[in-house]
Amino acid sequence: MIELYHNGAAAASLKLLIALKELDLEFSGHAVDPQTLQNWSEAHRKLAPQGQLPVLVDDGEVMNESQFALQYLAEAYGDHRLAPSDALGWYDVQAWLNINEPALGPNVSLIGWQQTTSAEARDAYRAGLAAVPGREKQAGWGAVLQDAEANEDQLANAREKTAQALSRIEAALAENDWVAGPDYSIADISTFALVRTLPDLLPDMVNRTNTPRTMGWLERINARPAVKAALAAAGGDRYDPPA
Amino acid sequence: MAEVEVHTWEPNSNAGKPLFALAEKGVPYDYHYINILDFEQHQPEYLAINPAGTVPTMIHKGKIFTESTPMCEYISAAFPGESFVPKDPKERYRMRWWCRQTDVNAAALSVLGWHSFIGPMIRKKSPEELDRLLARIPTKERRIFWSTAAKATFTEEQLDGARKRIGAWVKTMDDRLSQSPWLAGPTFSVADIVAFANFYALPMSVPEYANKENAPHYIDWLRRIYARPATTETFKQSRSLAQRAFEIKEQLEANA
Repeated sequence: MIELYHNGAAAASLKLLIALKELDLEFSGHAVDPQTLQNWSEAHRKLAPQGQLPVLVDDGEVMNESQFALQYLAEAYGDHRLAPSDALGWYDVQAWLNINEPALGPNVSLIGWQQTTSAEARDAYRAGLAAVPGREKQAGWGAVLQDAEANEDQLANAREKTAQALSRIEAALAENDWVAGPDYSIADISTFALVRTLPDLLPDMVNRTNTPRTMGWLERINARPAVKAALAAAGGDRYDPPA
Repeated sequence: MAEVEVHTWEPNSNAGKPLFALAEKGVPYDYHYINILDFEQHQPEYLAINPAGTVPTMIHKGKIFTESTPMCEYISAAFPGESFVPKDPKERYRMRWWCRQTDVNAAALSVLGWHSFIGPMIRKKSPEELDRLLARIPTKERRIFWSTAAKATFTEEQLDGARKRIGAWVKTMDDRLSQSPWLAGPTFSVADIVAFANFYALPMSVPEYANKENAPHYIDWLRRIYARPATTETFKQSRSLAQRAFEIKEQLEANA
């Protein structure tokens, strides 16, 4: 029995919804809304002590690292439909996810959250979050680097990282039809979930002239029945505050 | 010339992962030593194979590998011998979870490493030399990282916070290892390689936490990995960390 605790079309949740649909798996979905801090409820923290979303539970196994939950679905149920079977192909998929999920995840989230919410709503959210007990603070290098990066213009930084990731996507699609090799894989699913709304959010950066291959690739993925089904199940576009 | 090339620093942290993994498989490799204390990873020759300027880089059959944990999964699958990626997909999930948590907690450990070891060595360079070396770093994140690191002096409070964080992490590993012999489950896996590469010296760096009374299962796990022939083979090649590693190994055996 598979259960998915998710926040709809937010990228990390959407990628698991797409994978579940692609693999035609039965699951029960539970919506958890981080904008109202539902991910910090006592019940949710039993599954995800640091409020992580999404959480995949399969037969008692709780998986709150979405990158590896996605790999789990591909390996446990994919029969190589969503990931290559050879060592080299699997490395390429993992390396792609390792590099591009952290490069795009928090930055797309920040850009979307800034553009779709008011300053008052963001302040209210931050105040609520600050009052949550027992949240783990950044430690060690995380804290040192956070201080160093706090001086940077966060949004400009997010746009720059996003632009770099888009160049990687364009370069990859010049070599292959899909981002991590000749076949559609979880690397495409994850990256699609992150990039799909960028033509609306950043129309000057993501468009037919600047990123033609990315646009074509988005169209091909949008046309997949499983992706349509996942988007319908997920509800409308959604940007939650960066974790 | 061997079939595999590894361009890396010492058998330590990310730099060490492929060295331990290749040794587990008994795969010979050419070891190209990159001295990160001299910023050799930002030299043009190195950037030509790995433009991000991170260590390690592995080359096999013309393919360049730069992601250190997936590299270990590749080594497990690509060479004959015992696999260190479990067959059960749930155990694989746990293996990857422990690898990720290791990376997160190793960040706290590196505060201590920088404070007592790397920082002082780098600060021996003149400010002009240091600025020149830092300016050559290819990506902004790595530039911020190394600039902060090179100039960082930590307060007692920060150092104490880092030590406590590692102490809590030792306890987390110990709890896990009281339930199963290896981090991901019943079999030795990439998670053990990755965690060992980062936490093999804790009995020396945080003896108040990493000891037999406080964390017996972690200490026994360390002893078992130190006893593996691959571990000894790998440390034998170390230029600056071998002595420390073999001292810890001796102490673990004496107290077993």
